[in-house]
Amino acid sequence: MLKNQVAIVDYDVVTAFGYGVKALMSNLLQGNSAVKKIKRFPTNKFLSQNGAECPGISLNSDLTSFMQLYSCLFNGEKRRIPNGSDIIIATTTGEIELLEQAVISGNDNYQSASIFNLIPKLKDMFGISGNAEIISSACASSSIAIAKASYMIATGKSDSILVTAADSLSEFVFSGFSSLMAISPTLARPFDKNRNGISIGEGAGYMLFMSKERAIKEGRTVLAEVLGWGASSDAFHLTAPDGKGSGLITAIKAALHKAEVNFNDISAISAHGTGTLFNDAMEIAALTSLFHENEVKKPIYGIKGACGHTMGFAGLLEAVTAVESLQKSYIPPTVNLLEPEDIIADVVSNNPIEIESENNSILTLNSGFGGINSALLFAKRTQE
Amino acid sequence: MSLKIIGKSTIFNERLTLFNKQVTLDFTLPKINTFMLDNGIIKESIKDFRKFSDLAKLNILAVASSFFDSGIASLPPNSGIIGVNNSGAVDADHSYFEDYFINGRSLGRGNLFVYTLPSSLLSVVSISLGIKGPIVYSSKEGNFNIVSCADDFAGCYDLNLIFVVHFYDEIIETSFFKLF
Repeated sequence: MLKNQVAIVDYDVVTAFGYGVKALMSNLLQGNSAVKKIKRFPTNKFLSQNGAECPGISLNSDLTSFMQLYSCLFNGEKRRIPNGSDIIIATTTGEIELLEQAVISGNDNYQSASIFNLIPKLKDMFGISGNAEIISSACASSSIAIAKASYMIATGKSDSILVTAADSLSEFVFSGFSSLMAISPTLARPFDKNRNGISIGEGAGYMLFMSKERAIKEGRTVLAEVLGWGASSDAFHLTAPDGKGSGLITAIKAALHKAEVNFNDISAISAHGTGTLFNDAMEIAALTSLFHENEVKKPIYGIKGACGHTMGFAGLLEAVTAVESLQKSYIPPTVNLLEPEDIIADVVSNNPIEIESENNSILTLNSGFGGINSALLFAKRTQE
Repeated sequence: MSLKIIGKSTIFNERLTLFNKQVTLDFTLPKINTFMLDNGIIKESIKDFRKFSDLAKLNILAVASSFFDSGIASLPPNSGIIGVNNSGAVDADHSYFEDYFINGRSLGRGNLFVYTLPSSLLSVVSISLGIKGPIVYSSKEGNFNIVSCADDFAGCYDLNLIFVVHFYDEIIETSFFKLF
Protein backbone atom coordinates (compact mmCIF):
# COMPACT_ATOMS: atom_id res chain seq x y z
CA MET A 1 0.00 0.00 0.00
CA LEU A 2 1.44 3.37 -1.01
CA LYS A 3 1.61 5.98 1.72
CA ASN A 4 1.78 9.22 -0.24
CA GLN A 5 0.39 10.66 -3.44
CA VAL A 6 3.18 11.58 -5.87
CA ALA A 7 2.88 15.19 -6.99
CA ILE A 8 4.68 16.82 -9.89
CA VAL A 9 5.32 20.41 -8.90
CA ASP A 10 7.80 21.75 -11.44
CA TYR A 11 9.52 20.87 -14.70
CA ASP A 12 11.45 22.41 -17.53
CA VAL A 13 13.15 21.27 -20.71
CA VAL A 14 15.48 22.29 -23.47
CA THR A 15 14.81 20.58 -26.78
CA ALA A 16 15.65 21.07 -30.43
CA PHE A 17 12.81 23.59 -30.45
CA GLY A 18 14.84 25.70 -28.02
CA TYR A 19 14.55 26.52 -24.36
CA GLY A 20 11.38 25.89 -22.44
CA VAL A 21 8.13 24.03 -22.29
CA LYS A 22 6.30 26.79 -24.15
CA ALA A 23 8.52 26.40 -27.23
CA LEU A 24 8.17 22.63 -27.02
CA MET A 25 4.40 22.54 -26.77
CA SER A 26 3.65 25.26 -29.30
CA ASN A 27 5.82 23.51 -31.90
CA LEU A 28 4.44 20.08 -31.06
CA LEU A 29 0.84 21.19 -31.30
CA GLN A 30 1.53 22.95 -34.59
CA GLY A 31 2.97 19.72 -35.96
CA ASN A 32 6.47 21.11 -36.52
CA SER A 33 9.59 18.99 -36.73
CA ALA A 34 13.00 20.11 -35.46
CA VAL A 35 14.80 17.44 -37.48
CA LYS A 36 17.23 19.09 -39.92
CA LYS A 37 20.64 18.57 -41.44
CA ILE A 38 23.17 18.09 -38.65
CA LYS A 39 25.77 20.87 -38.40
CA ARG A 40 27.73 19.78 -35.32
CA PHE A 41 29.90 17.08 -36.90
CA PRO A 42 30.42 15.73 -40.44
CA THR A 43 27.75 13.26 -41.50
CA ASN A 44 28.63 12.90 -45.19
CA LYS A 45 29.90 9.33 -44.71
CA PHE A 46 26.62 8.16 -43.23
CA LEU A 47 23.36 7.12 -44.82
CA SER A 48 21.56 9.94 -43.04
CA GLN A 49 22.59 13.53 -42.40
CA ASN A 50 19.59 14.50 -40.27
CA GLY A 51 19.01 14.96 -36.58
CA ALA A 52 17.35 17.27 -34.08
CA GLU A 53 20.04 19.54 -32.62
CA CYS A 54 19.34 22.01 -29.86
CA PRO A 55 20.11 25.57 -30.94
CA GLY A 56 23.27 27.18 -29.60
CA ILE A 57 25.17 23.98 -28.77
CA SER A 58 28.65 23.91 -30.23
CA LEU A 59 31.72 21.70 -30.14
CA ASN A 60 33.78 24.91 -29.92
CA SER A 61 33.02 25.49 -26.27
CA ASP A 62 34.73 24.90 -22.95
CA LEU A 63 31.71 22.83 -21.98
CA THR A 64 30.66 19.53 -23.48
CA SER A 65 27.42 19.53 -25.44
CA PHE A 66 25.86 17.68 -22.51
CA MET A 67 26.76 20.45 -20.07
CA GLN A 68 25.79 23.13 -22.59
CA LEU A 69 22.32 21.57 -22.64
CA TYR A 70 22.17 22.11 -18.89
CA SER A 71 23.40 25.68 -19.28
CA CYS A 72 20.53 26.28 -21.70
CA LEU A 73 18.13 24.64 -19.28
CA PHE A 74 19.15 27.01 -16.52
CA ASN A 75 18.68 29.92 -18.91
CA GLY A 76 20.83 32.19 -16.78
CA GLU A 77 18.87 31.55 -13.60
CA LYS A 78 19.67 29.54 -10.53
CA ARG A 79 17.01 26.88 -10.07
CA ARG A 80 15.33 26.93 -6.68
CA ILE A 81 15.35 23.31 -5.69
CA PRO A 82 13.72 22.76 -2.28
CA ASN A 83 15.91 22.04 0.72
CA GLY A 84 16.68 18.41 1.38
CA SER A 85 15.77 17.25 -2.12
CA ASP A 86 17.41 14.14 -3.51
CA ILE A 87 18.45 13.87 -7.14
CA ILE A 88 18.19 11.07 -9.68
CA ILE A 89 20.12 11.58 -12.91
CA ALA A 90 19.15 9.64 -16.03
CA THR A 91 21.32 9.36 -19.10
CA THR A 92 22.70 6.82 -21.53
CA THR A 93 26.01 8.39 -22.55
CA GLY A 94 26.47 11.53 -20.39
CA GLU A 95 29.51 13.57 -21.39
CA ILE A 96 30.52 11.16 -24.15
CA GLU A 97 32.33 13.98 -25.93
CA LEU A 98 35.11 13.74 -23.33
CA LEU A 99 35.73 10.19 -24.52
CA GLU A 100 35.51 11.21 -28.18
CA GLN A 101 38.08 13.93 -27.58
CA ALA A 102 40.38 11.55 -25.69
CA VAL A 103 40.33 9.01 -28.53
CA ILE A 104 40.76 11.61 -31.28
CA SER A 105 43.70 13.23 -29.49
CA GLY A 106 45.32 9.89 -28.61
CA ASN A 107 44.83 10.49 -24.91
CA ASP A 108 44.15 7.55 -22.60
CA ASN A 109 42.29 9.62 -20.04
CA TYR A 110 38.82 8.64 -21.18
CA GLN A 111 37.59 7.69 -17.69
CA SER A 112 36.52 11.31 -17.20
CA ALA A 113 33.58 10.44 -19.46
CA SER A 114 32.21 7.99 -16.90
CA ILE A 115 28.61 8.87 -16.09
CA PHE A 116 29.45 8.54 -12.38
CA ASN A 117 31.31 11.86 -12.67
CA LEU A 118 28.03 13.60 -13.40
CA ILE A 119 26.91 13.30 -9.79
CA PRO A 120 29.03 16.07 -8.25
CA LYS A 121 28.66 18.29 -11.31
CA LEU A 122 24.87 18.14 -11.40
CA LYS A 123 24.47 18.27 -7.63
CA ASP A 124 26.47 21.47 -7.69
CA MET A 125 24.56 22.86 -10.68
CA PHE A 126 21.18 22.24 -9.06
CA GLY A 127 22.42 23.13 -5.55
CA ILE A 128 21.40 19.77 -4.12
CA SER A 129 22.84 18.40 -0.90
CA GLY A 130 20.68 15.28 -0.62
CA ASN A 131 21.25 11.77 -1.94
CA ALA A 132 22.22 11.29 -5.56
CA GLU A 133 21.79 8.35 -7.90
CA ILE A 134 22.40 7.74 -11.58
CA ILE A 135 20.01 5.47 -13.41
CA SER A 136 20.60 4.10 -16.85
CA SER A 137 18.22 1.69 -18.56
CA ALA A 138 18.80 2.40 -22.24
CA CYS A 139 16.09 4.56 -23.84
CA ALA A 140 13.83 3.96 -20.84
CA SER A 141 16.39 5.57 -18.48
CA SER A 142 14.43 8.62 -17.45
CA SER A 143 11.10 6.83 -17.18
CA ILE A 144 12.78 4.26 -14.92
CA ALA A 145 14.20 7.21 -12.94
CA ILE A 146 10.70 8.70 -12.63
CA ALA A 147 9.43 5.32 -11.41
CA LYS A 148 12.16 5.21 -8.76
CA ALA A 149 11.41 8.77 -7.64
CA SER A 150 7.69 8.00 -7.49
CA TYR A 151 8.34 4.90 -5.40
CA MET A 152 10.56 6.83 -2.97
CA ILE A 153 7.92 9.55 -2.57
CA ALA A 154 4.98 7.15 -2.41
CA THR A 155 6.59 5.12 0.37
CA GLY A 156 7.74 8.13 2.37
CA LYS A 157 11.45 7.39 1.87
CA SER A 158 11.83 10.90 0.48
CA ASP A 159 9.48 13.84 0.18
CA SER A 160 11.21 15.76 -2.60
CA ILE A 161 13.17 14.32 -5.51
CA LEU A 162 14.48 16.03 -8.59
CA VAL A 163 14.74 13.77 -11.63
CA THR A 164 16.95 15.21 -14.32
CA ALA A 165 17.81 13.67 -17.65
CA ALA A 166 19.89 14.58 -20.66
CA ASP A 167 21.62 13.11 -23.67
CA SER A 168 23.43 14.95 -26.43
CA LEU A 169 23.54 14.31 -30.15
CA SER A 170 27.09 13.05 -30.59
CA GLU A 171 29.17 11.47 -33.31
CA PHE A 172 29.46 8.48 -30.97
CA VAL A 173 25.72 7.86 -30.85
CA PHE A 174 25.07 8.85 -34.46
CA SER A 175 27.75 6.52 -35.83
CA GLY A 176 26.59 3.73 -33.53
CA PHE A 177 22.98 3.82 -34.61
CA SER A 178 24.17 4.21 -38.21
CA SER A 179 26.14 0.98 -37.79
CA LEU A 180 22.93 -0.74 -36.78
CA MET A 181 21.17 0.71 -39.86
CA ALA A 182 18.63 2.21 -37.49
CA ILE A 183 18.67 5.84 -38.67
CA SER A 184 16.16 7.05 -41.21
CA PRO A 185 17.82 8.48 -44.32
CA THR A 186 15.05 11.09 -44.29
CA LEU A 187 12.81 11.68 -41.25
CA ALA A 188 11.45 9.47 -38.50
CA ARG A 189 7.82 8.64 -39.25
CA PRO A 190 6.41 6.87 -36.19
CA PHE A 191 3.54 4.50 -37.01
CA ASP A 192 3.68 5.26 -40.72
CA LYS A 193 3.60 2.36 -43.19
CA ASN A 194 6.74 3.77 -44.82
CA ARG A 195 8.75 4.41 -41.67
CA ASN A 196 12.41 3.60 -42.07
CA GLY A 197 14.24 4.47 -38.89
CA ILE A 198 14.87 6.97 -36.15
CA SER A 199 15.98 10.58 -36.19
CA ILE A 200 18.37 11.19 -33.33
CA GLY A 201 17.71 14.17 -31.12
CA GLU A 202 19.00 15.64 -27.90
CA GLY A 203 17.84 17.61 -24.92
CA ALA A 204 17.81 18.04 -21.18
CA GLY A 205 15.20 18.58 -18.56
CA TYR A 206 14.06 18.05 -15.04
CA MET A 207 10.92 17.18 -13.15
CA LEU A 208 10.44 17.84 -9.45
CA PHE A 209 8.44 15.31 -7.47
CA MET A 210 7.06 15.88 -3.99
CA SER A 211 4.72 14.18 -1.63
CA LYS A 212 1.40 15.87 -2.13
CA GLU A 213 1.39 16.65 1.57
CA ARG A 214 4.62 18.63 1.35
CA ALA A 215 3.58 20.30 -1.90
CA ILE A 216 0.35 21.57 -0.36
CA LYS A 217 2.12 22.55 2.85
CA GLU A 218 4.56 24.66 0.84
CA GLY A 219 1.79 26.18 -1.26
CA ARG A 220 2.98 24.63 -4.51
CA THR A 221 0.71 23.97 -7.45
CA VAL A 222 0.31 20.28 -8.14
CA LEU A 223 0.63 20.10 -11.91
CA ALA A 224 -0.12 16.39 -12.13
CA GLU A 225 0.36 13.16 -10.24
CA VAL A 226 2.12 9.93 -10.99
CA LEU A 227 -0.42 7.19 -10.43
CA GLY A 228 1.53 4.11 -11.43
CA TRP A 229 4.61 2.64 -13.03
CA GLY A 230 5.83 -0.67 -14.37
CA ALA A 231 8.83 -2.15 -16.12
CA SER A 232 9.84 -5.41 -17.74
CA SER A 233 12.31 -7.06 -20.07
CA ASP A 234 11.58 -8.93 -23.27
CA ALA A 235 14.42 -11.44 -22.69
CA PHE A 236 14.41 -11.73 -26.45
CA HIS A 237 17.22 -9.95 -28.35
CA LEU A 238 19.76 -7.21 -27.70
CA THR A 239 18.70 -4.94 -30.56
CA ALA A 240 15.26 -6.19 -31.56
CA PRO A 241 12.07 -6.16 -29.49
CA ASP A 242 9.79 -9.12 -28.98
CA GLY A 243 7.42 -8.71 -31.92
CA LYS A 244 4.37 -9.69 -29.87
CA GLY A 245 4.95 -6.86 -27.42
CA SER A 246 4.43 -9.15 -24.45
CA GLY A 247 7.10 -7.37 -22.37
CA LEU A 248 5.50 -4.00 -22.98
CA ILE A 249 2.08 -5.40 -22.09
CA THR A 250 3.54 -6.64 -18.79
CA ALA A 251 4.91 -3.18 -18.01
CA ILE A 252 1.62 -1.48 -18.89
CA LYS A 253 -0.42 -3.88 -16.77
CA ALA A 254 1.96 -3.40 -13.85
CA ALA A 255 1.57 0.40 -14.09
CA LEU A 256 -2.22 0.17 -14.25
CA HIS A 257 -2.30 -2.32 -11.39
CA LYS A 258 -0.15 -0.05 -9.23
CA ALA A 259 -2.44 2.87 -10.09
CA GLU A 260 -5.60 0.82 -9.54
CA VAL A 261 -6.81 2.21 -12.86
CA ASN A 262 -8.51 0.28 -15.65
CA PHE A 263 -7.15 0.48 -19.17
CA ASN A 264 -10.59 1.78 -20.22
CA ASP A 265 -10.15 4.82 -17.99
CA ILE A 266 -6.97 6.23 -19.50
CA SER A 267 -7.32 9.13 -21.90
CA ALA A 268 -4.43 8.60 -24.30
CA ILE A 269 -1.14 6.80 -24.84
CA SER A 270 2.21 8.45 -25.47
CA ALA A 271 4.06 5.75 -27.40
CA HIS A 272 7.80 5.29 -27.59
CA GLY A 273 7.26 5.53 -31.38
CA THR A 274 10.82 5.60 -32.64
CA GLY A 275 9.92 5.18 -36.29
CA THR A 276 11.84 1.93 -36.71
CA LEU A 277 10.04 -0.93 -38.37
CA PHE A 278 10.40 -3.26 -35.40
CA ASN A 279 9.82 -0.95 -32.43
CA ASP A 280 6.62 0.49 -33.82
CA ALA A 281 5.37 -2.94 -34.90
CA MET A 282 6.00 -4.21 -31.36
CA GLU A 283 4.11 -1.28 -29.83
CA ILE A 284 1.25 -1.70 -32.28
CA ALA A 285 1.06 -5.40 -31.38
CA ALA A 286 1.05 -4.64 -27.65
CA LEU A 287 -1.49 -1.82 -27.83
CA THR A 288 -3.89 -3.51 -30.25
CA SER A 289 -3.78 -6.57 -28.01
CA LEU A 290 -4.83 -4.38 -25.07
CA PHE A 291 -7.50 -2.69 -27.20
CA HIS A 292 -8.90 -6.10 -28.05
CA GLU A 293 -8.69 -7.39 -24.48
CA ASN A 294 -10.45 -4.32 -23.07
CA GLU A 295 -12.81 -3.82 -26.00
CA VAL A 296 -11.83 -0.18 -26.24
CA LYS A 297 -9.44 1.93 -28.33
CA LYS A 298 -7.38 4.84 -27.08
CA PRO A 299 -5.65 7.66 -28.98
CA ILE A 300 -1.92 7.08 -29.52
CA TYR A 301 0.70 9.70 -30.28
CA GLY A 302 4.47 9.87 -30.55
CA ILE A 303 6.70 12.94 -30.52
CA LYS A 304 9.95 11.56 -31.95
CA GLY A 305 9.13 12.72 -35.47
CA ALA A 306 9.13 16.23 -34.01
CA CYS A 307 11.92 16.18 -31.39
CA GLY A 308 13.99 13.24 -32.59
CA HIS A 309 14.82 10.32 -30.35
CA THR A 310 16.46 11.89 -27.34
CA MET A 311 17.70 8.58 -25.89
CA GLY A 312 17.88 8.61 -22.07
CA PHE A 313 16.02 11.93 -21.96
CA ALA A 314 13.06 10.59 -23.98
CA GLY A 315 11.03 9.35 -21.01
CA LEU A 316 11.25 12.64 -19.14
CA LEU A 317 10.54 14.68 -22.26
CA GLU A 318 7.49 12.55 -22.95
CA ALA A 319 6.40 12.83 -19.33
CA VAL A 320 6.53 16.64 -19.56
CA THR A 321 4.63 16.51 -22.84
CA ALA A 322 2.00 14.23 -21.28
CA VAL A 323 1.49 16.52 -18.29
CA GLU A 324 1.24 19.55 -20.57
CA SER A 325 -1.22 17.65 -22.77
CA LEU A 326 -3.31 16.91 -19.70
CA GLN A 327 -3.29 20.60 -18.82
CA LYS A 328 -4.33 21.60 -22.33
CA SER A 329 -6.72 18.67 -22.90
CA TYR A 330 -5.06 18.07 -26.27
CA ILE A 331 -2.47 15.50 -27.25
CA PRO A 332 0.04 16.50 -29.91
CA PRO A 333 0.02 15.23 -33.47
CA THR A 334 2.28 12.39 -34.54
CA VAL A 335 4.54 14.45 -36.76
CA ASN A 336 5.60 13.13 -40.20
CA LEU A 337 2.75 10.63 -40.20
CA LEU A 338 1.47 10.40 -43.77
CA GLU A 339 0.09 6.89 -44.16
CA PRO A 340 -0.63 5.25 -40.80
CA GLU A 341 -0.54 1.51 -40.32
CA ASP A 342 -4.06 0.28 -41.08
CA ILE A 343 -4.64 -1.40 -37.74
CA ILE A 344 -4.19 1.84 -35.80
CA ALA A 345 -5.21 4.33 -38.47
CA ASP A 346 -8.23 5.42 -36.44
CA VAL A 347 -6.25 6.19 -33.28
CA VAL A 348 -3.16 8.03 -34.56
CA SER A 349 -3.26 11.40 -36.25
CA ASN A 350 -1.04 14.10 -37.66
CA ASN A 351 -3.35 16.61 -36.00
CA PRO A 352 -3.81 17.36 -32.29
CA ILE A 353 -6.52 15.27 -30.65
CA GLU A 354 -8.78 16.54 -27.90
CA ILE A 355 -8.81 14.34 -24.83
CA GLU A 356 -12.44 13.73 -24.03
CA SER A 357 -12.22 11.36 -21.11
CA GLU A 358 -13.42 12.64 -17.77
CA ASN A 359 -10.67 10.68 -16.05
CA ASN A 360 -7.85 12.67 -17.51
CA SER A 361 -4.76 10.48 -17.55
CA ILE A 362 -2.01 9.61 -20.03
CA LEU A 363 0.06 6.45 -20.18
CA THR A 364 3.61 7.01 -21.41
CA LEU A 365 5.68 4.15 -22.80
CA ASN A 366 9.37 3.69 -23.43
CA SER A 367 11.38 0.77 -24.68
CA GLY A 368 15.08 0.37 -25.25
CA PHE A 369 18.07 -1.65 -26.25
CA GLY A 370 18.07 -5.08 -24.74
CA GLY A 371 14.28 -5.27 -24.59
CA ILE A 372 13.73 -2.94 -21.63
CA ASN A 373 10.15 -1.68 -21.33
CA SER A 374 8.60 0.91 -19.06
CA ALA A 375 5.17 2.42 -18.51
CA LEU A 376 4.14 5.43 -16.44
CA LEU A 377 0.65 6.73 -15.75
CA PHE A 378 0.16 10.47 -15.20
CA ALA A 379 -3.07 12.12 -14.14
CA LYS A 380 -4.33 15.64 -13.91
CA ARG A 381 -5.74 16.40 -10.52
CA THR A 382 -7.67 19.44 -9.47
CA GLN A 383 -6.12 21.32 -6.56
CA GLU A 384 -7.65 20.31 -3.24
CA MET B 1 8.49 -8.91 4.92
CA SER B 2 12.25 -8.92 4.57
CA LEU B 3 14.84 -9.62 1.93
CA LYS B 4 17.45 -12.30 2.40
CA ILE B 5 20.37 -13.35 0.27
CA ILE B 6 19.69 -16.91 -0.85
CA GLY B 7 22.55 -17.27 -3.33
CA LYS B 8 25.81 -15.51 -3.95
CA SER B 9 28.74 -15.74 -6.33
CA THR B 10 31.95 -13.87 -6.88
CA ILE B 11 34.12 -13.98 -9.95
CA PHE B 12 37.70 -12.80 -10.01
CA ASN B 13 40.52 -13.82 -12.33
CA GLU B 14 38.72 -16.84 -13.86
CA ARG B 15 37.82 -18.14 -10.42
CA LEU B 16 34.23 -18.59 -9.27
CA THR B 17 33.24 -18.81 -5.62
CA LEU B 18 29.81 -19.99 -4.52
CA PHE B 19 28.91 -19.03 -0.98
CA ASN B 20 26.18 -21.49 0.07
CA LYS B 21 27.89 -24.38 -1.63
CA GLN B 22 31.24 -23.22 -0.22
CA VAL B 23 33.19 -24.12 -3.32
CA THR B 24 35.70 -22.33 -5.49
CA LEU B 25 35.99 -23.39 -9.10
CA ASP B 26 38.50 -22.35 -11.75
CA PHE B 27 37.39 -21.80 -15.33
CA THR B 28 38.76 -20.40 -18.54
CA LEU B 29 37.05 -17.62 -20.43
CA PRO B 30 36.80 -19.43 -23.79
CA LYS B 31 35.04 -22.39 -22.14
CA ILE B 32 32.54 -20.72 -19.81
CA ASN B 33 29.51 -22.30 -21.49
CA THR B 34 30.97 -25.80 -21.12
CA PHE B 35 32.04 -24.97 -17.57
CA MET B 36 28.48 -23.95 -16.64
CA LEU B 37 27.01 -27.09 -18.22
CA ASP B 38 29.59 -29.45 -16.68
CA ASN B 39 29.01 -28.04 -13.20
CA GLY B 40 25.22 -27.98 -13.45
CA ILE B 41 25.06 -24.19 -13.27
CA ILE B 42 22.89 -24.18 -16.38
CA LYS B 43 20.84 -27.07 -17.71
CA GLU B 44 20.97 -26.21 -21.39
CA SER B 45 23.53 -24.53 -23.59
CA ILE B 46 22.84 -20.81 -24.03
CA LYS B 47 21.91 -19.75 -27.53
CA ASP B 48 24.48 -17.58 -29.33
CA PHE B 49 26.72 -17.62 -26.27
CA ARG B 50 29.92 -17.43 -28.32
CA LYS B 51 28.75 -14.17 -29.90
CA PHE B 52 28.68 -12.29 -26.60
CA SER B 53 31.56 -10.15 -25.34
CA ASP B 54 33.84 -11.60 -22.66
CA LEU B 55 32.37 -9.32 -20.02
CA ALA B 56 28.84 -10.31 -21.05
CA LYS B 57 29.79 -13.99 -20.69
CA LEU B 58 31.18 -13.32 -17.22
CA ASN B 59 27.97 -11.53 -16.22
CA ILE B 60 25.90 -14.49 -17.42
CA LEU B 61 28.11 -16.80 -15.37
CA ALA B 62 27.81 -14.50 -12.35
CA VAL B 63 24.01 -14.40 -12.34
CA ALA B 64 23.52 -18.05 -13.32
CA SER B 65 25.93 -19.09 -10.54
CA SER B 66 24.20 -17.05 -7.83
CA PHE B 67 20.92 -18.64 -8.88
CA PHE B 68 22.57 -22.09 -8.86
CA ASP B 69 23.98 -21.34 -5.40
CA SER B 70 20.46 -20.67 -4.08
CA GLY B 71 19.33 -24.21 -4.84
CA ILE B 72 16.02 -22.98 -6.29
CA ALA B 73 14.85 -25.39 -8.97
CA SER B 74 13.60 -22.93 -11.55
CA LEU B 75 13.80 -19.20 -12.01
CA PRO B 76 10.50 -17.32 -12.18
CA PRO B 77 10.59 -15.03 -15.22
CA ASN B 78 9.54 -11.93 -13.29
CA SER B 79 12.81 -11.68 -11.37
CA GLY B 80 14.63 -8.36 -11.70
CA ILE B 81 18.27 -7.47 -12.25
CA ILE B 82 20.02 -4.39 -10.97
CA GLY B 83 23.63 -3.72 -11.89
CA VAL B 84 25.87 -1.41 -9.96
CA ASN B 85 29.32 0.04 -10.54
CA ASN B 86 30.99 3.41 -10.60
CA SER B 87 32.17 3.51 -14.18
CA GLY B 88 29.09 2.87 -16.30
CA ALA B 89 30.12 1.36 -19.63
CA VAL B 90 33.04 3.70 -20.25
CA ASP B 91 35.48 0.93 -21.21
CA ALA B 92 33.02 -0.49 -23.74
CA ASP B 93 32.41 3.05 -24.99
CA HIS B 94 36.14 3.44 -25.50
CA SER B 95 36.44 0.14 -27.35
CA TYR B 96 33.66 1.12 -29.73
CA PHE B 97 34.82 4.65 -30.45
CA GLU B 98 38.51 3.79 -30.75
CA ASP B 99 37.67 1.08 -33.28
CA TYR B 100 35.42 3.49 -35.18
CA PHE B 101 38.13 6.17 -35.17
CA ILE B 102 40.95 3.84 -36.24
CA ASN B 103 38.83 2.52 -39.09
CA GLY B 104 38.35 5.88 -40.75
CA ARG B 105 35.44 7.35 -38.80
CA SER B 106 32.92 6.24 -41.35
CA LEU B 107 31.27 3.12 -39.98
CA GLY B 108 31.17 1.77 -36.46
CA ARG B 109 30.90 -1.86 -35.50
CA GLY B 110 27.42 -2.69 -34.31
CA ASN B 111 28.68 -5.59 -32.21
CA LEU B 112 30.81 -3.16 -30.19
CA PHE B 113 28.20 -0.41 -30.07
CA VAL B 114 25.58 -2.66 -28.48
CA TYR B 115 27.68 -2.88 -25.30
CA THR B 116 28.07 0.88 -24.88
CA LEU B 117 25.08 1.23 -22.56
CA PRO B 118 25.53 0.51 -18.85
CA SER B 119 22.44 -1.72 -18.97
CA SER B 120 23.54 -3.78 -21.99
CA LEU B 121 25.36 -6.46 -20.00
CA LEU B 122 22.28 -6.94 -17.82
CA SER B 123 20.12 -7.26 -20.93
CA VAL B 124 22.39 -9.99 -22.26
CA VAL B 125 21.91 -11.81 -18.95
CA SER B 126 18.14 -11.44 -19.14
CA ILE B 127 18.08 -12.72 -22.72
CA SER B 128 20.34 -15.67 -21.95
CA LEU B 129 18.59 -16.77 -18.77
CA GLY B 130 15.01 -15.78 -19.64
CA ILE B 131 14.67 -13.16 -16.90
CA LYS B 132 11.71 -10.91 -17.73
CA GLY B 133 11.56 -8.49 -14.81
CA PRO B 134 12.91 -4.93 -14.83
CA ILE B 135 16.55 -4.18 -15.64
CA VAL B 136 18.23 -1.16 -14.11
CA TYR B 137 21.79 0.11 -13.92
CA SER B 138 22.41 2.28 -10.88
CA SER B 139 25.34 4.22 -9.52
CA LYS B 140 25.39 6.09 -6.24
CA GLU B 141 27.88 8.21 -4.40
CA GLY B 142 29.32 6.95 -1.15
CA ASN B 143 29.44 3.38 0.06
CA PHE B 144 27.20 1.06 -1.87
CA ASN B 145 24.65 -0.84 0.22
CA ILE B 146 23.36 -3.87 -1.70
CA VAL B 147 20.57 -4.64 0.77
CA SER B 148 19.14 -1.13 0.53
CA CYS B 149 19.52 -1.24 -3.25
CA ALA B 150 17.70 -4.59 -3.47
CA ASP B 151 15.03 -3.42 -1.04
CA ASP B 152 14.18 -0.33 -3.10
CA PHE B 153 14.24 -2.28 -6.34
CA ALA B 154 11.96 -5.00 -4.95
CA GLY B 155 9.58 -2.43 -3.48
CA CYS B 156 9.48 -0.28 -6.59
CA TYR B 157 8.45 -3.15 -8.86
CA ASP B 158 6.83 -5.59 -6.42
CA LEU B 159 9.50 -8.21 -7.06
CA ASN B 160 10.11 -11.33 -4.97
CA LEU B 161 13.45 -12.27 -6.51
CA ILE B 162 16.24 -9.84 -7.32
CA PHE B 163 19.76 -10.19 -8.61
CA VAL B 164 22.18 -7.44 -7.62
CA VAL B 165 25.29 -7.51 -9.80
CA HIS B 166 28.06 -5.43 -8.26
CA PHE B 167 31.20 -4.85 -10.31
CA TYR B 168 34.20 -3.40 -8.54
CA ASP B 169 37.99 -3.81 -8.67
CA GLU B 170 37.69 -6.43 -11.46
CA ILE B 171 35.38 -8.49 -9.20
CA ILE B 172 31.82 -9.39 -10.15
CA GLU B 173 29.84 -10.07 -6.99
CA THR B 174 26.26 -11.19 -7.49
CA SER B 175 23.76 -11.48 -4.68
CA PHE B 176 20.46 -13.23 -5.26
CA PHE B 177 17.75 -11.93 -2.93
CA LYS B 178 14.39 -13.38 -2.05
CA LEU B 179 11.57 -11.56 -0.32
CA PHE B 180 10.27 -13.54 2.69
